[in-house]
Amino acid sequence: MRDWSALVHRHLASVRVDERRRREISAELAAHLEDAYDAALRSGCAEAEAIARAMERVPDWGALAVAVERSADEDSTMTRQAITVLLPGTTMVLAAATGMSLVVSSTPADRWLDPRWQVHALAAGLAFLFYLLLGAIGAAWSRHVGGSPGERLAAGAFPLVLHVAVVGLGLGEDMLYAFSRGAVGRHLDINIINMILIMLVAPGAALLLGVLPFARRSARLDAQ
Amino acid sequence: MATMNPSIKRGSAELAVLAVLEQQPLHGYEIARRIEQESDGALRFTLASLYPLLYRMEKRGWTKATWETTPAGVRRRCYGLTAKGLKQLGATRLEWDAFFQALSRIGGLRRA
Repeated sequence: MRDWSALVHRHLASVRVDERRRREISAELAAHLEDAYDAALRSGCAEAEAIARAMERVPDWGALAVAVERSADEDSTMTRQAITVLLPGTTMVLAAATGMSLVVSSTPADRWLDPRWQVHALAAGLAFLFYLLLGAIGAAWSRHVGGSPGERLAAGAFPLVLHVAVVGLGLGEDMLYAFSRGAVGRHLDINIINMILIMLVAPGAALLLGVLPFARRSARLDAQ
Repeated sequence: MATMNPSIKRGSAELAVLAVLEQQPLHGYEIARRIEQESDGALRFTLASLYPLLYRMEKRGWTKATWETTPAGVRRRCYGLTAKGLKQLGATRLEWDAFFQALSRIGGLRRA
């Protein structure tokens, strides 16, 4: 028996629709071909002829892909990306902002100046895990609503927007300070490196690690 | 006289699909099979002509599709006509009727 699902999926792989819709369309078209094939077999055709009869329904796979994509294009791309990127992404930004605010407001002032490196390592580890979780939730949410691998990555890494904004403000403030003192030198360089490492590289790495398990195409979901 | 729909070709396919769905909800293959059978093979759909049409009709709210599992355990997406689709079918029929009457007057066609 021929694997009609695999055949249709292969030919429609380039069609630009969200994953969920692609699976649904592929399943529907494969079912149509299978019905045509079964009907031909029931009418007495040999297998090769039954396959040929079914394939008569698709004289041009390219035309089918274009027609399917055009009918899907009537959906707003903005609407789709709002669902697969913006909604999970902004929710994760809010979660990150809330988490940071809670930590800052609930930590006693003297704890920030604790001389023990273990305290700071524990705090950094917990923050890393928190961001890893945010990246994973954002990407998993995007995948659940049919996001492509790129959209899952964008949704998972979205909290970096908040960090870029904070770093941008911090750098701007630093530069103004340095210019007002007439000293754009060592002080600024060290701050930039520290800020980039702590505010961009570390959370970015944590988010990306969280996204990774959900960035690949799911064999189980594709098979549905 | 009623104004003719400029997309007459697409309109004919829409009429055929709406008309077979008026009888009962059907999945894609069955829609194509019935249209082919009832038109004595004159109307034949490829996947590229049938499914984009079905998706457009669904988006317009003329049909509603649901996944159903057959007694043999096979999943099929069945299309049923909505109230809006039924209304559209009536309007499309009137349009085609006017079209055939016009052709009949011009070309001396005989209607079945």
